[in-house]
Amino acid sequence: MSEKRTIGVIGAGSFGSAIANLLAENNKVLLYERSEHVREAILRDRMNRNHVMHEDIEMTGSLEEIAARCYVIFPAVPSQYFKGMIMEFSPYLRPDHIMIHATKGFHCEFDIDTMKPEDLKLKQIKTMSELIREETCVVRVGCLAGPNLAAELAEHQPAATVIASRFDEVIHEGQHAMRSDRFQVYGNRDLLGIELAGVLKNYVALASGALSGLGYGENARALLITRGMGEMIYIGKSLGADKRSFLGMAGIGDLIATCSSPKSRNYSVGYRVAKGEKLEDVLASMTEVAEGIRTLKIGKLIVDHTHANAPLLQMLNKVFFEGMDFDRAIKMLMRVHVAADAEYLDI
Amino acid sequence: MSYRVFTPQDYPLPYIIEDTTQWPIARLTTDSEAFTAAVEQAVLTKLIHRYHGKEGLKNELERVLYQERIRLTQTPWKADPKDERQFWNNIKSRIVKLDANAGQADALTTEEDILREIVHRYTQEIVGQFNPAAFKIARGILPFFFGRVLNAAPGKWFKTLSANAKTIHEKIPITGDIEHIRSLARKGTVIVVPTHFSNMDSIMVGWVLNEIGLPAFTYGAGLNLFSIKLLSYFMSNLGAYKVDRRKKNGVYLETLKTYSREAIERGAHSIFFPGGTRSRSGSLEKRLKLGLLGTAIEAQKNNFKKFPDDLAPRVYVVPLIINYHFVLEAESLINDYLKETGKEKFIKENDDYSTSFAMVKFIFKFLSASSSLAMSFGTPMDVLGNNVDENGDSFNHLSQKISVRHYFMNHGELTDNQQREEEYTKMLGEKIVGQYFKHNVVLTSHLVCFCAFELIRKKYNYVDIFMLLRTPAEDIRIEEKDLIAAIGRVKDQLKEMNKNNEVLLSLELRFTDEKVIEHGMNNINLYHSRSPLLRASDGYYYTEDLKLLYYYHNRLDGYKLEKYV
Repeated sequence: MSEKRTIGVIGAGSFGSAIANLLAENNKVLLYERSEHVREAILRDRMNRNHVMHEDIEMTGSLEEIAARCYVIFPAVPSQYFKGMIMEFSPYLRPDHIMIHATKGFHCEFDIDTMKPEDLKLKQIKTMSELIREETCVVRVGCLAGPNLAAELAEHQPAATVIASRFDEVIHEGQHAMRSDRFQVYGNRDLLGIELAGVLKNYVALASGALSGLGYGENARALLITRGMGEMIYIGKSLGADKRSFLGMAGIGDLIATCSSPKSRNYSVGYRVAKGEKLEDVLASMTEVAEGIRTLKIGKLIVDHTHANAPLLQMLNKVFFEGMDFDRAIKMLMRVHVAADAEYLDI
Repeated sequence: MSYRVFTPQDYPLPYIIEDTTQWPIARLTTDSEAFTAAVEQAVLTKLIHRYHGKEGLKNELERVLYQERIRLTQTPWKADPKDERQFWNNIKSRIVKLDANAGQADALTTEEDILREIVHRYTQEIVGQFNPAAFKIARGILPFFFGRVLNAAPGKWFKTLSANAKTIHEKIPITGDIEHIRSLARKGTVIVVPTHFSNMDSIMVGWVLNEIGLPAFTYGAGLNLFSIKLLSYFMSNLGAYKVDRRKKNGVYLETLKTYSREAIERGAHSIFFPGGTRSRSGSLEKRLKLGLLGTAIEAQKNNFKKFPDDLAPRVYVVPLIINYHFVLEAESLINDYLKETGKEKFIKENDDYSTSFAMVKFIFKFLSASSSLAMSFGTPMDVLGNNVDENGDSFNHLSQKISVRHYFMNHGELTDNQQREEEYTKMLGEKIVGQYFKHNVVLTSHLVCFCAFELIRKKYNYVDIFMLLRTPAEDIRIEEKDLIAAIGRVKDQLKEMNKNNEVLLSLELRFTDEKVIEHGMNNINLYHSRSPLLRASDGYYYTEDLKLLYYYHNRLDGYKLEKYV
């Protein structure tokens, strides 16, 4: 290729920084960060949240500049700030932009804490791609999900991810921009399935951290991961996703990584709460958002509404928000009537 | 959006282009040779590219031959040309010879030659023409015919002369932003996408487009209709092209699509029935057949490739919802539907109306019995489903001005991408379906049948609709007070939805609940020999044909009204 393209990344959080670095190997990167302080620090130190920042990464505080200079844009902003960002971005965007988001969370049009399942309309819960479609004129939308622990990406370890989109073109753009000797990029047309896999795995990771905090070992974790994936399939199917998406890199792949690694934020929240810390204190002490807690609440609203089979999700809600103790929750889960093994493949 | 409302006296509106010989469709006929040559060349280029490698193309030719030979023996039609068998026998012997010549550089016939011949034959079969003289005749006849027939119950011809005779425009209200559609037809190519419930649709659509002063539209008419002499004369001279639903082979479909795309690029306003065939269930189309719709998108992209942005002719999509109180073919449609869902049974493409007489009888019955029907135009859109303003500029749902060209660009360049366009076609299809629901005019008969059937469904509470439909009709009755109460509740909900722009309501829905029932029943029972719903002397409501009641009920399917019954 004669000249390197400029790819936009929105958000210099831990994952945004990791994506910017991956992209910088094949492209010029323009990284948007709202805080001037952070922008200056990155330019000065070439370090951000334990990532050594690639020298081809330019910083900007202007979404307008991103839209003007980049055709392909990767937003990586926590779900509760995503709508604000995308609305600010919207006036500058055009239908020839391609957006591949990396946010593993839901957007809700209501207050999560006061919403009752019987009043819920599923349309009020949105994935990030749905939000992009609603708030902008961009139609070629995709998402990125997979076992991509930011800390390991920072160490240049080998890894893989999935880019999902209804448009093959978006998948190709993502692969073209990201693929390298140490980073493999798979494609999937089931955008909803991959987004859901990325979001739903968060609560399973919380549970995995909790198991470790309680001192349990790998048998218990394997049980959790396998049944957790089954639950994700039930919920995913009830929302219209393809079950196969949960068996790929963004489903089982991401589950294995986040459920096994203390480096994962959701894992560490679960771990610390199981060790006896108060949830509020744990959350207050974190610099980055743990999507798992939001996912737990929103996930419960969804399954109460669709009646999807999700005992783990229900129990975790009881433990984290209703004061049930872990031992009792585990006992109750172990008593859940089990059907045949791997029955979730038959639904 | 507020727009100019035309009164019945305003129709027919003046043509936006006065000189019929200057209509896009007339120019297509004038340039017929160049036009069909362009179609044939484009098909060849595309197919040779698709089946590159000699074996690929040869295999495809063999597939086409195989399917055509099956068609010839299993579903021959009167409309088929006499030399069909001869033509395909000839193709067969030439394909056989290909093997003998395999590998020889100087072979007399190549795969491409054979393909060219097939494509040429298909194109010549499909091509339609527009004859201004024939148009003039039709324009003279139709209003007379309509005017007479609409007002005349059989045997009461003289009533047309009486003072209380309604004009056709009072009987058939036309709603929608007509001025907007007219202005877009001046600027670009308009694709009208009507709902499809009845064989009457193409006539009604042709009529309404003429009434609002648009130049003649081209559209694909079933080949079987061309065996009706009277109809064939008009259709083949008024710009209809021929579609043979029996031919499902790749070469034919590609030729058909290319024909449509090339016509749109040359500015010919077109009609697509995106439902494919008539709605069998009686419900609004929810899943569209997207084949021809995709040609509108491809044509728009090609226009951008040929012209700089502000000069590229634009393609606009206008949904049209046709509402009948009753559908003449309802019985056979709903039976087809039940067979289809019951078990995936193949439904043979039949030619229902095989003689001119049958056709005229059909139209006559329709028009004389029909007390009113509604023609409702949806909001004009670009090929991506964005709204367009009077100037033809696109605005998305956030009212941001959009350049449609951008949808076809990648890294600043216009690019071809078939998969992208397939997704765009699906998106456009979803927008059209959304508009069908939004601009659907609820008639009294729809409402009454919906409520009556839902009451029956609740009362018998079968899980399986087939079980319910097998219940002997004489065992079923509905209490009057239940029906009135249900009508009241559903009507209230419909009014609420109407306020939110989710559906349109006919004027008669303002009647009292009792009047609504009477009006709806009178209209629906005008035609069918077995009444879907009637009131007996004991005050109860009965049905003589539950399947028909189900069919008419389905028209309000998809609005989530069931819980209000």
